[in-house]
Amino acid sequence: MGRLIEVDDPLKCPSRLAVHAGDMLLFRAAGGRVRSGQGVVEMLGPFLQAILVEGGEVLTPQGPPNTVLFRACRPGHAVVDVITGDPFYQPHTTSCELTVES
Amino acid sequence: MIQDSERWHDAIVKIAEIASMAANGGEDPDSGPYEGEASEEAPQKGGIVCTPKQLPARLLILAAETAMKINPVNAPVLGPFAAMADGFQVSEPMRIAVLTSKYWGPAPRKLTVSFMESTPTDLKNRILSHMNAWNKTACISFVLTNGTGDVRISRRSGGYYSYLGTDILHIPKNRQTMNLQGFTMSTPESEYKRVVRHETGHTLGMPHEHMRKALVNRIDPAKAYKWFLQTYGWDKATVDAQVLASLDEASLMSTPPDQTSIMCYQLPGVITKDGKPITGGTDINATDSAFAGKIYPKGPVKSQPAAADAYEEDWPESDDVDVSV
Repeated sequence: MGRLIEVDDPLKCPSRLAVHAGDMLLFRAAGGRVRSGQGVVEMLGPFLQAILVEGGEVLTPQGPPNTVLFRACRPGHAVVDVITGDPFYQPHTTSCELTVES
Repeated sequence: MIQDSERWHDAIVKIAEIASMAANGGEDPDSGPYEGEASEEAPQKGGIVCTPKQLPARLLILAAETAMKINPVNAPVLGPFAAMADGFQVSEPMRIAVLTSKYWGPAPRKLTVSFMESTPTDLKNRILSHMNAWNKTACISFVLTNGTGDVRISRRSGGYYSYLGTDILHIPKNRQTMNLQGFTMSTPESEYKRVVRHETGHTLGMPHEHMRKALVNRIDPAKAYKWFLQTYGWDKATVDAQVLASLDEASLMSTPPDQTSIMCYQLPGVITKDGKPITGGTDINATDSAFAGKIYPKGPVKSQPAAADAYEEDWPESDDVDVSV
């Protein structure tokens, strides 16, 4: 079974992380990249969190994207960058080396 | 469709109220164009009671359009909300319904503020003081509450954002309406001015200034797509939404696009056609202040009677007058 692994604060994410193929990593971040290991890991997004309210309306805040997903596709190694903070003003980049196990 | 029609009707009534107050310059509406006959059904205790009449529903749209043509003061009321319905045309009823639904209205108002996490009092007060920087000219102020506020601030991860205007009232009470990731007492004062005041602008209903057409036109889309993909992994749709979508100028206040507005993001020269950056705003500037004071005027603005209190007076459609302005 795949797991949805939430990384609420990317700044506190360990520099190395082992996950399983089929896992999904969710970062609260404005952007991201797969620096190496394309195919081992793929990025989905970025997304801007929105909310469904009464009446079926989806309300979207004003702001840059704040969620990025990475899917562990197959065993191997990958390095991903996660960008946090304000993407229009001095953002911060955190890197994480992922080992995807079968 | 019935629901759409009702929303449009409500929106027009709201526009009429706002336009009336703006046209009156904040004067007592009883001495303005709403002065008229007292309703026979209205209570007569203690003197004359005026009840505004309402146009037949079929004329409300035309009346609103006419009001905006006659008095440009009416137009800015819609201006800051144009971005919220990006992709719609001005003439589409739903657009105006959406736009006006974000507006707090011109009457003085206090919005309560609470924090999602345990927050030191000095930090609460510091954030609040920057939110109230808008209150120097605008009639909306922010006050702390120990309960659940209208504005709910979180400092957890998720970046900086705020829901727009009255949308905050629809956000579940257990969710924040504004996010100020990582703000502490150690955060530089310049960031309080740049971020807290910017997000508070959204709470007041203001869109992003960098989405003004003249500023968007300075951006080279090909450069922007490439740079944002390489730098942040943003796809085209994200770049379009964040940077390249422009507001409809027809419904904006007629001030020149202002790259130093607090509501304007900083954009690098590498994505502009002329290689010069869009500087972005670092604090509420004079134009921002004046604009806030215009849509949320301070002074003796009295509330209009609720729309529900107005009654519709109808006549045969053949008697309608064609007004060309």
